[in-house]
Amino acid sequence: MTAAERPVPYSTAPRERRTAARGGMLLTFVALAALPVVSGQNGYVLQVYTQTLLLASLALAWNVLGISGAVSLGHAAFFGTGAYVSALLSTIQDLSVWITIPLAGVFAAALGMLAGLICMRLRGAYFALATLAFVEIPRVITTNWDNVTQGSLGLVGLPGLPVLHWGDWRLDMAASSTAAYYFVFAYAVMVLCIVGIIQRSSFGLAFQALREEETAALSIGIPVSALRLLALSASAFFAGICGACYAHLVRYIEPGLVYGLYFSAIPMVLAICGGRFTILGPALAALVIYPLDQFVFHPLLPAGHEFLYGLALVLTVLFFPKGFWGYFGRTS
Amino acid sequence: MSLLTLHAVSKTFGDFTALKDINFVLDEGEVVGLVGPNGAGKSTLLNVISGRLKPSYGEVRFDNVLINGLKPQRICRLGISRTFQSSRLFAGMSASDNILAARLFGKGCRPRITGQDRDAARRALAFVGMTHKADTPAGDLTLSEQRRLDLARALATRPRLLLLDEIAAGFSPVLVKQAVSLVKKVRARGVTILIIDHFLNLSVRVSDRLLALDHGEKVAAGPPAEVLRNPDVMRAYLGLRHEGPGHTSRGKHAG
Repeated sequence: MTAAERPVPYSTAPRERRTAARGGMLLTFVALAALPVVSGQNGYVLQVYTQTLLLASLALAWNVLGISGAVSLGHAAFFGTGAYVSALLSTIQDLSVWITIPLAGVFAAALGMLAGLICMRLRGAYFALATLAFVEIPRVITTNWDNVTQGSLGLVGLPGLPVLHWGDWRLDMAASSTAAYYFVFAYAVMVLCIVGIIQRSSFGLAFQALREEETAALSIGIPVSALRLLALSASAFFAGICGACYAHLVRYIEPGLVYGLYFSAIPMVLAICGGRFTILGPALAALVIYPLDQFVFHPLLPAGHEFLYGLALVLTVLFFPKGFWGYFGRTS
Repeated sequence: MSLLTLHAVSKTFGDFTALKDINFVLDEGEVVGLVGPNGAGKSTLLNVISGRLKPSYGEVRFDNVLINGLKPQRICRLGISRTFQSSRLFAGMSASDNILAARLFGKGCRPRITGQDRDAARRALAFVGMTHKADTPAGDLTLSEQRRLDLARALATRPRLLLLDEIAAGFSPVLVKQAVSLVKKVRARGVTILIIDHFLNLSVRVSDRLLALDHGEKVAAGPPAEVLRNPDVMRAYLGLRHEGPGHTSRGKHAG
């Protein structure tokens, strides 16, 4: 299939606006790639941006389900499961983090499949509420499985990110914040590319059709439930890997943290602010909002800085209903 | 050769009987109008055939395959496609993408868009006279254009049986004329058609036979002229009292 033949989603944004958006996108990529050099390898700045890119990946993962029209309020279930699976396998089973991180994704995808089978008959707000309740299942199990998970005490001293070898060359990503930054950057770019491929593929067209009009989608043969299940599992897979990366970056996890509302709400807020049905929107929202929170709002309002997320959501709904990137780029 | 067979099909919702013991055979290549006043059960029957509703009793067979209770997407892949009375187009997608989406999972389709599919989408739009609207979002089209796009989308799944739900409802005489010629063009492609038509403005002009329903029951079936003269059909539509031959017990008390 040539580029010209590929299904291109309909866009309402004027051509000039889209050209400006593409330029901005390229500049952002270059700026992010050069950040460690530009920031003089400042540990704090790199830490914030590593977290930013992790949240961007989580928001992109959330949006793999989002493009099918479903809203999840429970992605912490997959994030937390990924974090715990990788943490436990790397500590108890002593497996390499290179293996435990993808395995975390697989476990999270299986949980996503289970959640899908339970909740797939529900639609709209009912589905969203069911996902919110679903988070409690892995959280309660983790909290009460004391002898393995240490319960609410959490797991401390987890192995850091893996060491890269290439002949004599060796890069310890646990010791170098620059290396950790590039590791998460690479993951975010990978998720972005996969989301882009899905959105621009025939499946993207099917997802768009089923979120626009489900009854008609069924009538033209689109297997709506199977596609939603696939989207939820894929979304959970990437969210699980985000959780695993988080566990090995922070090296400490506890149920209240990784299964908390924060990791359910943040990807949703970022995806809505950036543009739910766009490819880049959720990642761009993370790049704007999280550093703004950490560098500006947190020092000013240490106790209530998270109101920024609520403010961003309200402003988006009022002024950019299709999200920030929906205004500049592709709306579908 | 019979393509669709309805045998003693009934549909109940709690105590309410929407369809009662419907028997009908639709032959391949035929155009049949399904007529009746509001609440006659036309849409219920169409939903039963297309898989949106499961019949409470009876059998629906398509090409000798029992399709009772199959999901709509499975029924579509067997070769039955439908249009909708109220717009159920993918409003935010272009007219062309609406058709392309229908070529992903329809009968004999693969979930992959090729140049062949793009050509087919262009031909489908040309077929309904909408080539110039290919890039227009479906939500921005006029009522007539939306109905034509709905038809093109249904045809894109390559159906053997096409169910048209009130395709000319709300149309002016000129638009009805266009709809008549479009249905004739579809028929010329060898597609069997079942038309739901409340106002009879389309079905009497294109159908080989009419199937008339009233209160969920079959009241008449046959050539249009014959069905329209049927006293039960006249009573159902006009509320006329009829005392001649063929009157029913309900007819006796009507009026």
